[in-house]
Amino acid sequence: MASTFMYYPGHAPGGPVVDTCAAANAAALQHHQQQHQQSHLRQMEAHQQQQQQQQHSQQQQQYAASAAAAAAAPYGYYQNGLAAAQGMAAVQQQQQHQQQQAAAFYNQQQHQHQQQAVAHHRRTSSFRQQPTLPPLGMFYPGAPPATILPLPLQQEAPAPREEYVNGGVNQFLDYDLDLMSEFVIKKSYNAFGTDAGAVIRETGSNQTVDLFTKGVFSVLSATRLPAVTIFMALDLLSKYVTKTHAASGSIRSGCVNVVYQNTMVAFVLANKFNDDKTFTNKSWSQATGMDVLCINNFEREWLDVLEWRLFDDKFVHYDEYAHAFEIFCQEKRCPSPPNMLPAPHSTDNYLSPPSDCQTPVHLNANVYSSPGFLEKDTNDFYYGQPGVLSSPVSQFTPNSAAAYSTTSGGPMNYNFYNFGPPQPAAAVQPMMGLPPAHMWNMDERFGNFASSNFPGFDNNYYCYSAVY
Amino acid sequence: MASFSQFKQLEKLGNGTYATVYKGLNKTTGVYVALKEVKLDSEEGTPSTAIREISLMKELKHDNVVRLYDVIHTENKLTLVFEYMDNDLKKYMDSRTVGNNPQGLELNLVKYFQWQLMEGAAFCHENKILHRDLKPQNLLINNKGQLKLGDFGLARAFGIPVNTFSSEVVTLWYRAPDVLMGSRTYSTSIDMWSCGCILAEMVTGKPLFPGTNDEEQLKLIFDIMGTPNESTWPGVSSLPKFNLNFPQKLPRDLRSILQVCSKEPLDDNLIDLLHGLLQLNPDMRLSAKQALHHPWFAEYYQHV
Repeated sequence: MASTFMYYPGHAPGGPVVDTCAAANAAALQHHQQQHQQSHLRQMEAHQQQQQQQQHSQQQQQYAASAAAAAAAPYGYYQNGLAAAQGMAAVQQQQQHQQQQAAAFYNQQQHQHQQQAVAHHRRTSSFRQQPTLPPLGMFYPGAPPATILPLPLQQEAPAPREEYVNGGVNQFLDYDLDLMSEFVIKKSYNAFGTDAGAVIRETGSNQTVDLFTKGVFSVLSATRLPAVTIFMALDLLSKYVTKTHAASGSIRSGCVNVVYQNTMVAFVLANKFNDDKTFTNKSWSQATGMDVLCINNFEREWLDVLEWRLFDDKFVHYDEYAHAFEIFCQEKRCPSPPNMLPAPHSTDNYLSPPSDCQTPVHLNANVYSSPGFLEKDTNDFYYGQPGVLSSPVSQFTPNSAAAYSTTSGGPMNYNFYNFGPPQPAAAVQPMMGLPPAHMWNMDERFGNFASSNFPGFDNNYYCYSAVY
Repeated sequence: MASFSQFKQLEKLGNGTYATVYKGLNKTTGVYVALKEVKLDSEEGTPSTAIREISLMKELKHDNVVRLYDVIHTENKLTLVFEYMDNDLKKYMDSRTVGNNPQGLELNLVKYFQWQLMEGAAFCHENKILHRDLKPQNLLINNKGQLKLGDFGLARAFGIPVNTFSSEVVTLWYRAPDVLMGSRTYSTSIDMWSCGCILAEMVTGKPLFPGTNDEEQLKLIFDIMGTPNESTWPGVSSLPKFNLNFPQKLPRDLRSILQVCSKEPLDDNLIDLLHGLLQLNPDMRLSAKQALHHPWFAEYYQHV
């Protein structure tokens, strides 16, 4: 009835929202959701889309105004949009601009609106105020870096990555980002009863695994979650999958979006449960590329399935996760020679019982932790910007882009996958009446891809993912 | 899973920290409940306070912790169904004020309340949960004299490694000096300081350290308990907000300070328990378990 699509930073959510959420829910709710809830969900989301469309023109004016105000800043307003994903990973490049960006950011009308909207909801006494965070990856002058104590390191001390410091939870990470990303991928696939090798074999390429890894890396570098929170997220993911029996059917066949989305929601819940510094779902939306309504739905669904019991076992598995990660790191740092593993052999890994620490995650890459692995991805649409991590799904481009370009008849039928700098900015600019060097994120184009504009939507859109 | 239609919403009981609380009637059972309504913001998603309060309270079933019966989660509203309690300790003490003069509670009642407070705190700590916001407003009482811990919106699990403890926890008047000085490595001792402040407040009817800001709060504490130094509290000078220029004060006699506000003579055991709970050095502070074995409570544990 529906299928799934990978979300990623910069992706236009107007069309996919309904169906992705429905699909996600279908996956999650398989065994206990009542039929009418689904249709209700669709109605509800269709309604929300209408509302969003109504807001759209209003928003545009706002954005235009604030964009004009921010025109002087080199990265402009969209530090918090599509650029959020880039901002996370490209902090080095951006640091010289940060002051200006921050100034531009804090002068934004729109941000103030957000703050007000959220503020009334927050607790009144000052100590309870949850900071309204700037977009992830923003330089965040409100953070008190001076008072944060360096954390005791549990594993071998990773090279400090102070250059990444931004609005995340921890100033100093107690792990290596690359290794942790790969560990998360491995454990997430394990939770779904598969592994990277199986996915690569079934899809015939390592694209999905690469994209998944990049997506996780990007999210972790933006949020800077403590290791314990990540481990808790993985623990929750495994509990959730066990409870929903979601690890069936299409999920095994490399349906990376389901794995990705659920992993992200696990992060959301673990962060909210375990950290004193938490992000709103809006911020998570910007970091993960998932639509905020979808995150909200996933979150509610998860809490329901887990019956809110996020601490029922007092996280007894913490030590196991910490130990597994330690061994994983050792293995990655001193891997057995890659040429000792013949390629056909290694893809057979998934037939053997999932070994905890031995499965190579990247079979083709053999580049386990080097940040340089980005540069070989010439297919990546951020290819022109070395070091900029983008979407975990940019490789889905041809299919999905075709879906859009052939079906969207409206004035906005530009191909959003060409959306990376520099040309896309030029392409977008005349339409939106914006100064150059601005990149729109999902919010602006929200509503332009309403599903009603897609007569052949279902057929074209789900080219990649399985159908429930 | 309950549905909202099962409850009849009655009068508003108050505004919680992140929610509005109504009295409710379970139409099926005829039992009164407290309905804590949290408006959901689509940008925030489910508030972390609610996620913690619910997931932690689900694990806490004890006579001295308010019971969470159910959770009703809809698109734009989250309703927590709690055990109904008649009053909270703050309102109760306020109701005993004569004219403008706050009155302390009878020492027998103080002891009974404090015993229950220690029982509740000990249970939370055994279950690896810090309350982090103990204060009279969050101690709910009923007409039977039972006292229960409520409002776990700031609570947090501990025991697993923690990296991001905030020092911005606990209402100022009940916040421990180590936390005021920026410690992020606190544990159960953070709750015990609050319990000491609450005990003194029940005795006199007045908050013990009613500061208006962090600095004044520390000053009020040091005025009575003495200014700590490396010899009385090894490691204090390495706390982030430790200041060598703190005015140097000597500890004052707690009994004489409290006695003027109490009609009954304060016995040595009570003063000794207070000293145990109000140790500046968190490592020296009594634990809830230890406090329950304090001689002041002898009449309770001797009956058990």
